Amino acid sequence: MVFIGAENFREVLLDSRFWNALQVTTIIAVTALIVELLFGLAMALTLNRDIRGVRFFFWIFLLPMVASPIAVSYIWHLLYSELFGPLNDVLRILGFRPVAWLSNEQIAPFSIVTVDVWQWTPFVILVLYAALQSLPKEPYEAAQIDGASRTQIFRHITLPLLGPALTVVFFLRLVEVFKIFDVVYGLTGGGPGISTQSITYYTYNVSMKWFSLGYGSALSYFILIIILAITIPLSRIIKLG
Amino acid sequence: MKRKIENVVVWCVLLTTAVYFLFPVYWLITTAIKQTKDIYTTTYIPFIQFQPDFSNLSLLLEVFSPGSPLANSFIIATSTAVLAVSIGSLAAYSLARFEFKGWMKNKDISFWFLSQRMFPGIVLAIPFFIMMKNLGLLDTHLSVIMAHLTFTLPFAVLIMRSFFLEVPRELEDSAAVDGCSRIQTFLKIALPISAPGMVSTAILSFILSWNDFLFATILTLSNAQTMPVAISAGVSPVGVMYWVIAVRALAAILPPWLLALAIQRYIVRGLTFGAVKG
Repeated sequence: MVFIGAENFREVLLDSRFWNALQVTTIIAVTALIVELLFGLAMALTLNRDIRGVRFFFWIFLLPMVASPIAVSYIWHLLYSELFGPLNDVLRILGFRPVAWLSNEQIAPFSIVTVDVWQWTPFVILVLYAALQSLPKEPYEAAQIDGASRTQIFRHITLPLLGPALTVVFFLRLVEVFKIFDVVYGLTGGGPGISTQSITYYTYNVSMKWFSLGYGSALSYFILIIILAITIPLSRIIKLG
Repeated sequence: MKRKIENVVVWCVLLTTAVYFLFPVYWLITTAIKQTKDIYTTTYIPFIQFQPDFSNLSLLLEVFSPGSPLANSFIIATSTAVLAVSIGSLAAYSLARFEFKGWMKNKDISFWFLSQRMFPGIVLAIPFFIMMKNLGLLDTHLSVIMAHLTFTLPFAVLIMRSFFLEVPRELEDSAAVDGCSRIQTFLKIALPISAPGMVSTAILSFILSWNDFLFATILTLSNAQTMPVAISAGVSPVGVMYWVIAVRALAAILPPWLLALAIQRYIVRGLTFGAVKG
């Protein structure tokens, strides 16, 4: 082993695979977050209308959240199977062409997003629902007396009051989705090609498959910097003092 | 009329959502009871479209035997949860009750714990692998437990802190007046009051440890192999053994779900570090 100073760090910045991994991770993270937050907010608002059987939905929602991500990725492996998966079967019945969910470079990243959405939207729903349930009643009564429309109430009362909960969920999901590893490992192995190689998966490959531990450690530092940059604003919202 | 249409729309949305979240689990269960030939034809309804074969479930027995992945997962997750909560409670109590002075204030210490929880596992996995190799601890329960504590312990500290902060200070003060020492106040007042919090923290730590794949796959090979690693081992060179994977995946996702149902009330609070109270 030879000491090479900052050589590894320089190499990371010149590594096109690192930039590819960063791009893939960003695309997955941004898409997943947008869908999860919108879907989660919509569902939380729907369940907040005193729906009968809310309890039943909570039982369902708990399952994906606490299921082992590697098990989840293999469940979706079964669903995505091109030849005998139910997804393509339904498409065939409806008269569409089967889709190569996991072996098409354009589609595979979004197949991963779908799994993340399945697993983590329930978390968004539960948190936002809990926040909705604990909102004060007075502003709503006042708004009704003033004759505000439902859109106005949502836009000027519910949304601002939900702000803190939304921000917490946003940052918690952002950190977790940036570290996405298990689902990539179980579903695509970074493929086809390197189209779904997330940044943690690339680092894992470099260190554990090719055994360049020095370069892997340098890559780790870059992940660490990104995660820290997300954690600092999060710590401001979660009251730590 | 308008209300009726609205209700119909709401129920359609709810139904679609329920199908989206339930169907994958349904598919997992039917795959687990399909014969090999039925796996390669897409069939949906047992007894009508295909004859279920419960002999696959006997694979569960293999999984349940001592030294099996499931047993390993139980040992590792339980030890991790117990250690995380017992060590974490002490740290959390001092964070909640003492004022730290100097360059690291309470807030800075809490932030440090939060950043530990957020830490990307892969960053720790490499040094952990090297250390465990040098110590000769690769493929032992101990190495995985230590690795899992790196993320469950900070998690336990943060949540237990939020529970201890809710214990009324007056109770502890009057205990002190009655002659309780600090540690007695902790054991006799703070701990019993926050017992539900402790249990849910333990369960969440258990689930975190149970579900971890990254550390388990790097640190174990056979002796200490956990459930998630065993699932991924169902992909053999011959191809993906779907029924084996399905049975194992089922065994891996059921225990955390049952545990989570038991602590529903605390789930939201636990997963947001007390920021949103359920």
